[in-house]
Amino acid sequence: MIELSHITRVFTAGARDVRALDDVSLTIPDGEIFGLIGSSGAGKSTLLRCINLLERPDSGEVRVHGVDMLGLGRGALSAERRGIGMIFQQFNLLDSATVFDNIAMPMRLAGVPTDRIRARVDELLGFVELSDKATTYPPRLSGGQKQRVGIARALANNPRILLADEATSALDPETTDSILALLKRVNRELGVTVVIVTHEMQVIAKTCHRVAVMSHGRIVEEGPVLDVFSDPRERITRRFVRTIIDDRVPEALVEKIRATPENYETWRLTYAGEASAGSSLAEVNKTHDVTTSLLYASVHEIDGVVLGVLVVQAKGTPEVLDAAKQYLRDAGVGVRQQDLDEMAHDEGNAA
Amino acid sequence: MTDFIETYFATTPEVLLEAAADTLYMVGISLVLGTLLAIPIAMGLVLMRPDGIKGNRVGYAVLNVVVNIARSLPFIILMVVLMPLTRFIVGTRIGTTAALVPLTLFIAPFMARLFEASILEVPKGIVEAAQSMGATTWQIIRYFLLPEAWGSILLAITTGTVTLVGATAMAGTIGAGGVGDLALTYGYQAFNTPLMVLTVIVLIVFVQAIQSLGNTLARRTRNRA
Repeated sequence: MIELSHITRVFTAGARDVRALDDVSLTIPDGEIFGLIGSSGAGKSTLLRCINLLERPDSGEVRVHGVDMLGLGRGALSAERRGIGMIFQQFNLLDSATVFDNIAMPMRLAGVPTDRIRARVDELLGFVELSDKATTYPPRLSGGQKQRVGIARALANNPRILLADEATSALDPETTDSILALLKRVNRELGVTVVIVTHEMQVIAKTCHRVAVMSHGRIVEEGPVLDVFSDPRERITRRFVRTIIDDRVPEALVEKIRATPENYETWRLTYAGEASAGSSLAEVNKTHDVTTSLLYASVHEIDGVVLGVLVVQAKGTPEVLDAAKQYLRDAGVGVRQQDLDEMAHDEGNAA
Repeated sequence: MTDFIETYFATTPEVLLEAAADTLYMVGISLVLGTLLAIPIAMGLVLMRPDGIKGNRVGYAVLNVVVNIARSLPFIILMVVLMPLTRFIVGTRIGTTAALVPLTLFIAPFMARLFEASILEVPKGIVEAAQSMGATTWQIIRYFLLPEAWGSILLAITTGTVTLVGATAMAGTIGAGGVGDLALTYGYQAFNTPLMVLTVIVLIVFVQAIQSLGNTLARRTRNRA
């Protein structure tokens, strides 16, 4: 378990101070893949570095598996860090050492005997599917292979936690998928808690169980990934979700909806897993005096669960619309009023 | 051969060989001593930088100023200034061995600056990765900074060696001998132009050989596999 409480970190940039982290508290249970997302400068990488104290917070408390990290002396901190692997956007491998020696490094630093190092490196090379590259130097590897070496190196001392700092941001989409699949294996097969920092919602959708959204040094929203995707509350979160589920409609269509003479509402309907908003909507049309027109529909797989999002315009009397909404909710469909302004206007790219 | 040398250069093969040996002796010893001094100085400069892993404003400022002062003095002046120290260490102020003291103290800060630049080329992320593995400061130096900077450090040593060859010529003024001294005293001052040309050629060959060797070693370190 990773517990960060009331973490504050201020950087001095010239004459003024920048609050990189502003009273942030976060708990990450064991065995989870946890995502930290935010725009650049939101403080997500700084927060990640507070876990293994590559960044020392100005105030607050850091506990990893119950150990008060800030209270440790130099030697004890080194020992704790061996239980926390880390991978980086730029891989940070030694170009002057072979793949074998790179992966062996954390064990050599820890004084592990040579024969045990050899066996463990062979095992790790197999795990990351690079057994044929042991004697290769990193400059000869592709980006994806370099990150695999990085992951193998981070796992060398059998850590219980793996920190991934923008680990796929320098990779192409296909390679990103393979690295994310590997991180999921690390979590599932080795039981390692994985904390992923990213600015790409795609990474969160494909990999994480839970997510925290950061903005200006604070966590503005946190929850299970499926919940955040189906019902994002904060504006910044909606912007990130929109990079995957882009439910905006053309301005002209919005104008047309506004011009509707009858009483109407626009709804954002979400359903996960077994429920289907499509059939429930058809039922509503039959059983209630409501006409609905579809504005947007999509189906995505988020954290292994199918998430459907529909935006519809529903016409009818207020009483009937309320009854229809209740009917849909009873059928397991999430219903929220959709703000037309927000639907139409491009608020800029979240990333 | 002896006749040929005596006819054209008005000197003996023994004199030429002794000069070459003196140059190699002075360059070799002061290079080794200078490098051994320069590496810890460079490491100190890198580690104590305000954003370094052992950030220490005062320590950095002091070391920085000391290196700058040492680098301010032209070799010929440094030689004179250091004479008392030389006599204390070697027992004499003149001769080939006496020249080792100013040569070493001349080249060490010069190479320290070059090494500092080489070590600073190592990406910050490498140090971060080392720290995340729980590496101690000594382990970061030994297993991360030095190996990663090694190719660049070899080129810096090459530059230092060539600079030393030049400095040894001036060491002739304190009776240190060597190829440069041969060119000045036997060649230039005795109006022996053929000998002077010969020594120039020997010096050019020296420098070319050193540079080629340095480049080859650095390339081998950098383009492994």
